[in-house]
Amino acid sequence: MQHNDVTVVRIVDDLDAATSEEATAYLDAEIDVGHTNLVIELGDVAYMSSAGLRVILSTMQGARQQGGDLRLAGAEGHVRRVLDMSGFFRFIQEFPTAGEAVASYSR
Amino acid sequence: MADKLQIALPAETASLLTIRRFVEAACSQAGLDDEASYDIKLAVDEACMNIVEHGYAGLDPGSIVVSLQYGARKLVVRITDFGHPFEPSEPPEPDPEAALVGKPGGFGIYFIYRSVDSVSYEATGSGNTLTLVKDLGSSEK
Repeated sequence: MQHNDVTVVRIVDDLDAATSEEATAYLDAEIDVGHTNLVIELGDVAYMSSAGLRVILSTMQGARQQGGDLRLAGAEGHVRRVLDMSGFFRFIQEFPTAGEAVASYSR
Repeated sequence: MADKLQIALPAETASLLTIRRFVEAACSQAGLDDEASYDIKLAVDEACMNIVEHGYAGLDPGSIVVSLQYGARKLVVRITDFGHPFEPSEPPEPDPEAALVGKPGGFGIYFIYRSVDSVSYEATGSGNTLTLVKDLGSSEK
């Protein structure tokens, strides 16, 4: 989903070792076509492990290398706990909603 | 302790979801709250993921056995494989910024230690078993 120059990717599956390869491929493809301002919407993700963290980290690195960024939206409950435990919020911006995450790129 | 619940599956990524569902069902039966249930699910998933990714490297494909027992005071999960031993010593808190410039590893084992109360590992001729123990609080819910 595109909003101006920002692409929102909503993940709805569990983000584990089985699904992370597909998720990474999808996100890498977005970066490849120049969608480098990304938002990952996590509100529908019921489960995330360190495999999901790897997806987020590599996507963030890829986006930033291209002059863009990755921001997170809707991280709540258990998914939020996992992100918190990892310390990712120290260097990835996150917002309650995708709308707010998209808007943050305009500031 | 109550009866043992057990599942045995091939050590492949497709098994991870089934294992999580098994753990969910067992935790529900044991009366765990949502957070404790997720903790155990995460710890087991991370351990099984390590086996899937490294346990049988260079060997014939093998299996993972997950067994779960619980009583009023604790829940014990044992994860057994028959491949390469891999003793998961407790890592320091991972530095995610180091991960930015280096390998993004280390979170899995860290999560295991953060999610359960005790972790032990035994590698014998008949398999490698990771034992995770979660202390159950008051049995009042």
